[in-house]
Amino acid sequence: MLYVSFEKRLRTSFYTRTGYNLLSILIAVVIGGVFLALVDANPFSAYGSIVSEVLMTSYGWEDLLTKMSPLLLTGVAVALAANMRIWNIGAEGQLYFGAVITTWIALNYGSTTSSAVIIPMMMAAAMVAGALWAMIPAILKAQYNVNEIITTLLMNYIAISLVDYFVFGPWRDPKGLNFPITEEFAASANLPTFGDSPVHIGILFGLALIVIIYFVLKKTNIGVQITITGDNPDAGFYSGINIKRLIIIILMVSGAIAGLAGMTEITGVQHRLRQNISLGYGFTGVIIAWLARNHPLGIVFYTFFMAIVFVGGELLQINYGLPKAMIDLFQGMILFCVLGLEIFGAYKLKFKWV
Amino acid sequence: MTPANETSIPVLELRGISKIFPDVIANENVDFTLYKGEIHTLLGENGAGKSTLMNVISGLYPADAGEMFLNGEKVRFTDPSQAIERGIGMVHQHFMLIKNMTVAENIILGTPQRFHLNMKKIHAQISDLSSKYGLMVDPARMIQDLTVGEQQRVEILKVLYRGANILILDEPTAVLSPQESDSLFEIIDRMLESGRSVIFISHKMKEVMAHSIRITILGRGKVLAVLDQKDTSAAGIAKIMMGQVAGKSGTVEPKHDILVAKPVTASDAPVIKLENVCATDERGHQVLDNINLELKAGEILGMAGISGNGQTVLAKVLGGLHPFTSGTYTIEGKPFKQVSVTQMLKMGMGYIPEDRKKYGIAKGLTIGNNFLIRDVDNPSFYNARILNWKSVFNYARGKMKLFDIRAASEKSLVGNLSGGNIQKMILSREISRPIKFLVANQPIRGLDINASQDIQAVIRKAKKEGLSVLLISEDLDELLLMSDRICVMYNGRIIDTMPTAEATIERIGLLMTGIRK
Repeated sequence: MLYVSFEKRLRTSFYTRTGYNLLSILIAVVIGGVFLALVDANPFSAYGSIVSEVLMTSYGWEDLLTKMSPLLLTGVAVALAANMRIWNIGAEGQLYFGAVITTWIALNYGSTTSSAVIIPMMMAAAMVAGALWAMIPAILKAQYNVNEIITTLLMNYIAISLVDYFVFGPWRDPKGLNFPITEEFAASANLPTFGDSPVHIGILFGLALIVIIYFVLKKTNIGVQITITGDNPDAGFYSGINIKRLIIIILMVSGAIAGLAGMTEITGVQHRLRQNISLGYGFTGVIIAWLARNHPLGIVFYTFFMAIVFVGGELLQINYGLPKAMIDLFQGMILFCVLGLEIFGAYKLKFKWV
Repeated sequence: MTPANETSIPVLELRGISKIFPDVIANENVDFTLYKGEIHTLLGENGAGKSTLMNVISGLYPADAGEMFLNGEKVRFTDPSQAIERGIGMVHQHFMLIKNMTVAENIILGTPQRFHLNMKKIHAQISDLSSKYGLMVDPARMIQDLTVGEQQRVEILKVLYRGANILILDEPTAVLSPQESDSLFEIIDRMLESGRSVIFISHKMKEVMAHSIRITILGRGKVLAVLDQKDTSAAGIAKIMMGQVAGKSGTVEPKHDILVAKPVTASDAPVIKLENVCATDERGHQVLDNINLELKAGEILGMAGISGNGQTVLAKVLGGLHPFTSGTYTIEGKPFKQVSVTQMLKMGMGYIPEDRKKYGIAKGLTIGNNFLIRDVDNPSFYNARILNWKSVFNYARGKMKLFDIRAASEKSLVGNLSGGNIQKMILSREISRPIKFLVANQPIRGLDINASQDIQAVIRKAKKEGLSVLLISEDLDELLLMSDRICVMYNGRIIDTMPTAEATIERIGLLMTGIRK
């Protein structure tokens, strides 16, 4: 009789886990190829076109870097909370609410304030907004042990509806041909770009925050508190750590970073507020954080990969008439495969003939 | 004690059993025999391989090498249910009972039964079994209403109900009062008389010498010796286990120091004082009932009591982990109406929790990282507020050497350490900070003789330098050896306190069951 068992690995090696991550991506790519074939798109030419038109052209790279900006931010936002085993599924809503507050400032002060003043103002406001949006789930979790997965998730829909309200209502551009969009932001309220390219500096915020957050996590006493509490809250308690306070702080900082993503999107790319400012960047952030786990370089790498998925997916939409849902499908499959293969990172399969 | 019939086929025989885990050879070429009607003790330090061997016998996992024979017939178990079917019953140290179900329900859980349960018949069956072996317990009562001794009887009934012929008892007297332990051995005698055989795992030398017929000593996965009880003595066994002449307890020189912080108050004033302290549990039940106690500098107060009578809550209250609802907690003359863990850390309190794995470690983190627990803000680990991991790992490495904590390195994950090593780590961490008083809840439980004596020596030395200690222990010998005064907890109260000179095991044992003379 074949006796199959799982044996816990002594140490989850970085290489093992990365290997399985890449394997999951490969499996997702293959399954994606099957789906493409099912809708009469040749997978090889489809994937080939992504490589040639996205990775080998300058405008492809411009798109990639632009897409990476919000993803780096949401990725590190979720990863920060995840270090304490807090799952911030609300990055999307925090992004939207950050965008709302940014819009308010841009519309009211954009024309009368210089870039040097208004941009930092909007950044700070967006971060406060994101933090506030995360505060309600944070307090509920800290005080009443309400599961943050549910509360943060539901707050997303409130924020998205709030944006709908504003763009259909009070902030609708009277010259916008009745579309649910606000008027365009004044020039000073837009994020500067790199030279003549459309790539805005938001990507730098993401990179900077990754450095800052991981420095805090690995090299400060708060970082130690987070890591210990994340592994064993009882040990954190025994250690004298104020766990309730830490939960609230971490979730609010996570929300703040996601809020900043909202600001960079509308001041760097859209230059106005409208529906669907995000293509699900908040949710993609969850996937990125999960793939990267605790490695800062991992966040950059997987963000880059997810950006390819987004931009490539848009390309396929245009060239092959595929629905936008393809992108979501693909990302979902990656997460599915990653989670499914996750167990092999921690456990080895052992076969014994008995 | 029933004499073993050594000329017959052994009821259980292991030949050359080996079991290997990724980082350790848990059992190496182990031979073991058990004869019918015998009580065979398995002795060994933590990490010696006793639990693994028992897990192989009870079918939890198959051995990697070697053979097992039941009554001469070769067997190999890949599943505990197979072992149970063949009459092997394991009574675990940590009970596996469902608290809010009845005794009868717990006993029949998992056994084949008719769809429509006839509880009356089952109760009768259980009562029969109970009276046959003297395991008196009411089948209709809920587990949560039973004493620990009664719960253990349910555990034993579970295996007897399934027709166990070979019983494995893992540290059964750890949670019993002396009187209850005596009852247990009477019950074991009855089982032996009825033709059953018992494998007995214990740390307590007195019991082992009093009740075993044969003794197998394991060390580092190998069999060190197989002895007949009548041919050996406690000292002889200790010698084999330690590989050196066993010194009389109390004369071992400690290899390291406790950092004892100088107390603020005069040495006559109590360092800590509890006045009329009460506390409740999460369900609102009173668990501490007007506790009054005092500890002076350089004094060890031993606390005896059957587990579950409030000692752990009291320890937590002292450590700041559990709130108290009334009374005053005075530390070095400063009265407090409530305390927090952070405050207690600042005031120089050391606290070794009973449930060490729950509170004391972060399993997924390295040993180095774990040394930061309760020491997060220690300035010696930081250069200008930036954590210096090298200093953390150096510190950890030093402590590992000093306290003989065995692991691959200071970067190993704590979850991979054996229980005894985890404990040593927690202990070393606590006594390496400068402390004024120490609350130690079962500090040597689960440690081998060497490590136990070491820890005891360290505590005694620190006491001479002024450390106050509340020592909660189920080992009455330890309490008598170490304490200046002994108190007994029963039902959330300190039922009596006496100088050690006036304490005897009998007197304490009675107090533990609530009987004041």
